[in-house]
Amino acid sequence: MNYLDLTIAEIHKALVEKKVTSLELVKESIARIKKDKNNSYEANNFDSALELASNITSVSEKEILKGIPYVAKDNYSTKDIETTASSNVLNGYIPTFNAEVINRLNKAGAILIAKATLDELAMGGTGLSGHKGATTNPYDNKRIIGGSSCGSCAAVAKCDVPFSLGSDTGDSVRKPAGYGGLVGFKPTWSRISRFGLFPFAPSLDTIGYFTRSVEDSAILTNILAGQDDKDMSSSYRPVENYMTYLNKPNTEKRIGYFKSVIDCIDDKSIVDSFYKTIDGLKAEGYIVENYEFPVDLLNALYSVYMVISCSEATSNDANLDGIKFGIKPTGDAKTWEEYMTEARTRGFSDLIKRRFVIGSFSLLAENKDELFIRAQKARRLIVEEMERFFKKHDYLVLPASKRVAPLIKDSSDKWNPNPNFVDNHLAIANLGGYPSLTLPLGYEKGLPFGINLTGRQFEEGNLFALGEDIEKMTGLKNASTVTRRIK
Amino acid sequence: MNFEPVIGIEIHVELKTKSKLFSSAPVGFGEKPNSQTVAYDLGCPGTMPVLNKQAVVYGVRVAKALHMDIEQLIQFDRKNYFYTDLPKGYQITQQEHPIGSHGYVDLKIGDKVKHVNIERIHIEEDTAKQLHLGDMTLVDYNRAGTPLLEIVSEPDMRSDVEAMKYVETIHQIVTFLNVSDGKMEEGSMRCDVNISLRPYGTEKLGTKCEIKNLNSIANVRAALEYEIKRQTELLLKGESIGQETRRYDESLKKTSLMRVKTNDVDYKFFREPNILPVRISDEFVKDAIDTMAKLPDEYRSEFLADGLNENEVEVLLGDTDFTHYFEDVLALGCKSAKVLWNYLMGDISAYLNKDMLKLTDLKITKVQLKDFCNMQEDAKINSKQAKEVIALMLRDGADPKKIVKDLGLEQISDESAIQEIVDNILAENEQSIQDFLGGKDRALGYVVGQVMKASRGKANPALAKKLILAEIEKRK
Amino acid sequence: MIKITKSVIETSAKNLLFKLTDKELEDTHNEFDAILKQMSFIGSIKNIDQAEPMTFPIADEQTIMREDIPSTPMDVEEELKMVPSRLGNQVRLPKVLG
Repeated sequence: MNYLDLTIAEIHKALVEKKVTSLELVKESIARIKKDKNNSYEANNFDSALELASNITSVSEKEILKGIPYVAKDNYSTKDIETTASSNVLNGYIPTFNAEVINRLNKAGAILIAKATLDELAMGGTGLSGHKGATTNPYDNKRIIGGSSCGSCAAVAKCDVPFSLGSDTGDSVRKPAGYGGLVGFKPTWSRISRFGLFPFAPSLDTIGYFTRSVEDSAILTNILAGQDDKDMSSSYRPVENYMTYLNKPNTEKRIGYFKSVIDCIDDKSIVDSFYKTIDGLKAEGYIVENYEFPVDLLNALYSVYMVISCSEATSNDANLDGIKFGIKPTGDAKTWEEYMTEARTRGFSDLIKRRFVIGSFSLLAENKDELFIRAQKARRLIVEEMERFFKKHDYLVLPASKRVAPLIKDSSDKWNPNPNFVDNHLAIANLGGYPSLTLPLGYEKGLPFGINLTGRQFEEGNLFALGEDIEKMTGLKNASTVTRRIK
Repeated sequence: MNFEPVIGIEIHVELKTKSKLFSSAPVGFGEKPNSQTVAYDLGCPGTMPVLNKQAVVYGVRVAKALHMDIEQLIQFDRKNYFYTDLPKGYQITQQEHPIGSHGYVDLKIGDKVKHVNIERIHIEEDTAKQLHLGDMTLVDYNRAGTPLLEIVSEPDMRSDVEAMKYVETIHQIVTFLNVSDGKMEEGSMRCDVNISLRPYGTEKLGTKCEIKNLNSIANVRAALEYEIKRQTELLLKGESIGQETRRYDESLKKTSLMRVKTNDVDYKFFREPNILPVRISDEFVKDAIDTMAKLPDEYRSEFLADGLNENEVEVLLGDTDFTHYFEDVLALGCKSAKVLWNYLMGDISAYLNKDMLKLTDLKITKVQLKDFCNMQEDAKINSKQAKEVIALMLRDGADPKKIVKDLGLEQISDESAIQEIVDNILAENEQSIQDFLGGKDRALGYVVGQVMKASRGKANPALAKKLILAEIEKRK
Repeated sequence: MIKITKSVIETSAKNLLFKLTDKELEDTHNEFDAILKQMSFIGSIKNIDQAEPMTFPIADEQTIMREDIPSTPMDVEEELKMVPSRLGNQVRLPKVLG
């Protein structure tokens, strides 16, 4: 057993007790990353990491992240480390500043080892569209691990690090977490500063992270949450100590689910595990009921998400023009349009270009009301319905996905001609800004699947409390390809 | 057929905050290229806009000065387009919810008042600066992100003079409020003028042309004068006006085509998602207004009440430094606004202009100037002596009281002392008395001059004249 | 709403400053049918047009703005190190017309 295979809380204890040193952890992490077979990584920070780790002589009880290695999705600005968002248009871009969450983690003593791959510019859900090619699933490398936070998910699933930063705009942490058997968490929109995170769709984007226990998620939230002067959308609401919600009986106990969504799932083991968990929660005093969420709203989820996110993304990525940083045009251009066009044609993959065309199309004056504004109106209605839901229930609980990780050959980021709301319900938490947590539910033929919990805005603590209860029931704390904890 | 010009003007005012609108980079002018930027100004991914409070304060003040409704929920939108001077590929502006709306200014032209409605004012970020050379263009991002206030008038102006007066009025307001340097020649105030012509008495608007890159208030008028002529000639010939963007060539004194205006660009506006709506309280607004500098109209009423005439007031208001200096000296206890004005706009201006100096370069203090003016008003020295004193004051920064004392210049205003001199002079100039009584007015001046000479210039000339006339009256 | 022809897609791409290959153009055009079909699901939501558009997921307003205190600007060399093409202290481009 290697200490790197443990959770943050366990590793921290070992560091305090001097059973292991940070340098040993970092060296092991680097060795594993070098052996990565899943195409999980972009630039690395090995030299710096080793230096930082070697300077750590002791870790005190309250320095909970000190000396612990992590990776960050390559859409987080990291000072002096190339950051590409897995897109050729940003090859060679070296930020001059750190994202705020990177600063907070570094200040807490955590050690950044490497940047992780993602779907290009975070605009995908398969992990196949990054400029380095497919990131595969450590449980089965013929399968995807999902996206867009593919590399971050793989890194934690195979214990290269105990936690990693991802980002979640529609489901980009919480869906892969299901495929990778991990805890994937996103907080309330505005709870954690987005400064330095490359924006995909700012009104939907949230910081997210992968861990192997609910407790670890709470630990990270304590450190990362809170207002930041550099992000004018970050919330001034006071930050709680989320650890106080753990290891004690949960007081909020009303759960709702959408049977209409579950009925769309063909995979029997997932459905059975889900209902078994529901029964288990009922036995612990939770009140669990179906909620009839209007089908017309569920059917619209995919388009609402796509229209809003593609439109905002098209605008956000208009700064990628080859003039100030990133890809360097070859120099044949005679006019500025040619110059920028060359940079953007070469720099963006065809998937991204298609998304931009959709986004741009939705914002055209003649289409804006019918497409973009309508999508924003639908968002309002979806959220209003969720407000009604949250009057009756404290949580929405659903399977994280309808199946285990699909095969690569069956996956694509093309616009889904027949989306089913079972594939898209995770987006509700982005449309409404709610905190949401995926955690491992079970395995089917050795492949993980997950369960997702969504709570009211700023009620992260309650979410962790419910998550902890489910974690105890499944016994799947610290699930990974190393521990292979299969009941 | 007579055509009526219909003119609307858009003015962009660079706000003189210390830092930029959404980034904390310093705002400056003429600094080394690319030395006043932070990552946000280059559009680096992951950077975010953080609103500068002072820019909002300035926006509130201008809105108040223009009698506008002030929008207290500050929101921004993205204006999306690609250009080399636009680092993010969009500009953050206020499309839907401008900070000020439904305002006006009243322009005084001759003895008439022209009311011009102002549709809106809004806050937005400035673009980078480009230098076009030969086969390349160089970009300097220092200016990128500087706060701008865009002021959009209704098309209410009907002549080149009204347009010029409007621009002058806006310029005066923003400089008096100290929110901008307002220098068209430096680009801290930019005017785009829209003009169309229509037959008098009709409602339908003609095709409008836009005139850009005007670099002085005078050129606003000159450009419009030419453009009105140009469009009139075309219309009289039965030709149509092309929808164009034109520039004014100062040396040729005519406007020329820059580009044909194509269909309106689709900017795909949508709400800026990185800035939550910012609510400014009633207190915030009140505070911004209570602490704002005096506006030109306030100064107008004050200075007229102080005794200046309209022309003198306008001359003074033409320069904010002079206005404030004048106000300060008055406040220190200067007894005559007129006397002060005469010296400030006369001897002192001449002195400063000679070496291109500013008021802050003066060696004298405001107290000294006040004392000097009061000496005149109190008839302690006469105007001829005053000229001598002021020259010395300006040259040496010396105190006027000291100069007068040292040079023994105190004017004699003691009646009995002057009476004595008058009696002596009259006794010696019997002929002059007769000449004056016979209708030769010049004789009086001669006698006064003799009294002045006898008193070595120190007699109060007005008093001397009075006493002489009284004496002559006695001898009638 | 305008009809999706290949020409509309090409114009969109041109306005976004990138080129699509023939295959990319074809793929996008094919995708659009599916896209428009689903966008119509939004249209069939009950009472959709009476709703207020939503930009932000939270209703909170901000009251705090940044004080007007300038920070130290980026070092010119550090800034221009990132830039693909430069001349002296300026960023260099082919000639911009108009």
